[in-house]
Amino acid sequence: MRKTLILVLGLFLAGAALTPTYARELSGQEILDDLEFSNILSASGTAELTLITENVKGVQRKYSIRVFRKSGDDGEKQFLEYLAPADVRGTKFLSLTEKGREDQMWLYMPALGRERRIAAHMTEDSFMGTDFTYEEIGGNLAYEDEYSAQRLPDEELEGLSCYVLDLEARSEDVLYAKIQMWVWKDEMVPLQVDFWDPADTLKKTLTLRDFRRVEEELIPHNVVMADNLKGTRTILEITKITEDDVDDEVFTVRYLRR
Amino acid sequence: MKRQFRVWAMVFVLLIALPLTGWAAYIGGELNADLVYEWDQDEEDLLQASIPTGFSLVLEDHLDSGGKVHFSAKGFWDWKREKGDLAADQLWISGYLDDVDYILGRQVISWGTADGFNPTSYFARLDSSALTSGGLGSEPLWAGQATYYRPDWSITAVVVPFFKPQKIDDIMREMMIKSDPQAPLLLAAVDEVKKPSGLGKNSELALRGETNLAGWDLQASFFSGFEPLPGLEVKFDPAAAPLPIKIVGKYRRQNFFGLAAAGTIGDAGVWAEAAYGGPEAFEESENPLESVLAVNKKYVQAVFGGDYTFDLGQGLLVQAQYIYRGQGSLFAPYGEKIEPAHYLYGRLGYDLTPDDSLEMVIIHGLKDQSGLIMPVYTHRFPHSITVEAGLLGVYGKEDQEFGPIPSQARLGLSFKF
Repeated sequence: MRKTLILVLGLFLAGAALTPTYARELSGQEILDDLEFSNILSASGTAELTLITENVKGVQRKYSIRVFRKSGDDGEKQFLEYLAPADVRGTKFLSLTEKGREDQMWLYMPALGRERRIAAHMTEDSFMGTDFTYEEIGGNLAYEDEYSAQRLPDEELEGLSCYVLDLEARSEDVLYAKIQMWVWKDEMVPLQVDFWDPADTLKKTLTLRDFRRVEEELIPHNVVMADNLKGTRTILEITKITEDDVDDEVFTVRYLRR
Repeated sequence: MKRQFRVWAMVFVLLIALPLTGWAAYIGGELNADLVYEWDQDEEDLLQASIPTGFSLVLEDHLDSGGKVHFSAKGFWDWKREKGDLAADQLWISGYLDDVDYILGRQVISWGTADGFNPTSYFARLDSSALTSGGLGSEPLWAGQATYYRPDWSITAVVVPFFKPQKIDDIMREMMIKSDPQAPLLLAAVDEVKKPSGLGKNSELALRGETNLAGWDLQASFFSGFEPLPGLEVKFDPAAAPLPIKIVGKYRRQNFFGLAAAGTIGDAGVWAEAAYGGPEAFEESENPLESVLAVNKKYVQAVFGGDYTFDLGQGLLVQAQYIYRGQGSLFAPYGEKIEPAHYLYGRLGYDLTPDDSLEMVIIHGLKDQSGLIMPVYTHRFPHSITVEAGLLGVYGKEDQEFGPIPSQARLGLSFKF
C-alpha cells in the first residue's frame, strides 16, 4: 500500500513537472515541421492512379496513370505513363531534378515514335491539362523553406479537430503568395490546403481524404484539386501504391523508349 | 485483290482468336472518317474532294522474358475517289537484355531531335500527304535495330536488309506535273528504275551514338544506304525517237554523317540537327545532249528550332524552325539546276479548355515566298472521340513551289479504342 502511494505521488509530481511542456502551444512553424506528410504520392515508390478532370460544366474525363518516383539527397526522379484512355495511352513523361543542375524533362509520344525534350519551366504549368502543376503532382507539400508559418485559431473540418496555419511566402519566387492549411491534429496530416495568388484571391483548393497507412506513411487515397477561378476540378484516386525502391534504370531515356 | 483479301482475313482471325486465347494483352486502334473539300483553281467554289474512312488496329503483348510483340494493320477507303488500301503496318518483336535493347521486324525508325523535319532520320521517307495533314509518323520498314546502353552513353545500330524506296504520292506527283512540263517523262523514268537487288547489295546500315552532356542530348550518326528517289540523267541514245535522248535512272548509294542536339536555354526548348553527305555522283558528260537531272554532289541538310510557352491564358506554345535543304525543294527533286531550298516552319498551339485546342502550322518557302497555312480546331469528347475542323490555305502563284497544292477544308471524326 505504502509502495503504491509513493508510486502515485511520484507520477503526480512527475506529471506536474512535465505539464508546462505539454501545455505549451505548438507554433505554426513547429506544426509545419512536424507534419507526418509531405508528398501526395510517396517520395519514393510506385503508384497507379485514376485521374479525373472535371470541366466547368461538370463533364468528367478519366485517365489511368502509372507513376514511378524516387527522391534522395541529390534530387528527385519521376517517370509517368498513361495507361488509358486510348487517345493518350503510351504517352510517357520523364523528369530528373538534380540539385545544382537544371531540371531535365522528356516526353515520349507513341505517334512520333521517339522522345522529345521539353523545357523545365513547365513545372509551373498545368500538368497534362489538369488543375495540378507538374510540381504539385510531384506532391511536394514541404513548405517550411519557402514560407513562414503563423498559427490561426483551431477549427473543425468534417468533425475532425484541426490546426490552421497561415503561410506567407518568404520571396516572390514561388507560385502562391499565401497558403492556408488545415492539419488534422490526431495524425498531423493536412486535410485541406488553400492557395492564394498575390492579388489575395483564392486560386486553388486541395483536399486530401481517405488516408491509409502504407508502410508506416499516411497516404491520402483521394485527392481533389479545385481551381476556384476556372471552376474546374481534378480528382486523383490512388488505386495502388507501394514504397518499394525503384531501380534507377526506370528513370532513363532507355526505359522511356520501351 | 487476293492480297487484300488475305490481309482482311488475317485481321479478322486475329481479332477473333487473340482475345479468346488471351495472347494479346492489349488491343487498340482507331476508326476515322473525314470530309475533305477543295477550292477550285479560281478559289471561288468549294468542291468535295474526298471522303476517306479508315481504321488502324494494334495488337501488343509483353513477353515474360522482357520485351514486346507488336502487330498493327491499317486501311482506308475513299468513298469519293473510290479507291483504298489495306495493309499490315508494323510487325515486330523487341527484347531487353542487360545492356542491349533490340527490335526486329517491320518497324518505324524515327531519329533526330527536330520536330517533323529530321535530317538524321535516314530511314524516314517524305510523305507529302502526311506533311499537308500535319502528320508526324513515318512509314515502317523491315529492319533490325539494337541499342547498347551504358550509364552515360549509348550506341544504336540499324540494319535494313532490303532497301525501300520513297513512294511519290499523289500530292507530290501533282505538284511535279504542275511545276514542270517535263515531269510526266521524269515520273515515267522513275517508275522504270529497278531497285538494287542481290543478297547484301540492297541493304542499308546506320549507326548512332548518344550522350547527355551538361544537360544537352547529343547524337552523332552515320548512314550508308541508298537515295530514297532514284537519280535521273539524260543520256544520248541514237536509237531513240523522236529525239536521240532517253531519261535513265539509278538508285545511287549514299553516305551521310549527322549531328543532332536538344536542350533548354532558360525557359525555351531548343534543338539543332544537321546531316552532310550525298549520293555517288553521276559522271558529268561533255555531250550537250546529256545532263544530270538530280542532285549530283554532297550537300547539307539542317534544321534549327526552338519552342516557348508564353504565360497567356492556358499557355500559348510557339514553335519555330529554320529548315535548309541542300538537295533542293521538298516537292521538286529533279531538274538540271538544283539549288538549295530554305523554309521557315512555325507552330502555334493553344488550349482553349482541356477539351478544346487550336493549332496552326505554317510552312513558308524563303526562295519564292510561297507556303502553307494550316489552322486546326480540335474538340475532344469523352471516350476518346475527337472532332477536328481544319483548313489548308496555300499562298503563292501556281508556278511557285506550294502554288499547285489546292486549298482545302477538312472535317474529321475519330474514335480511339
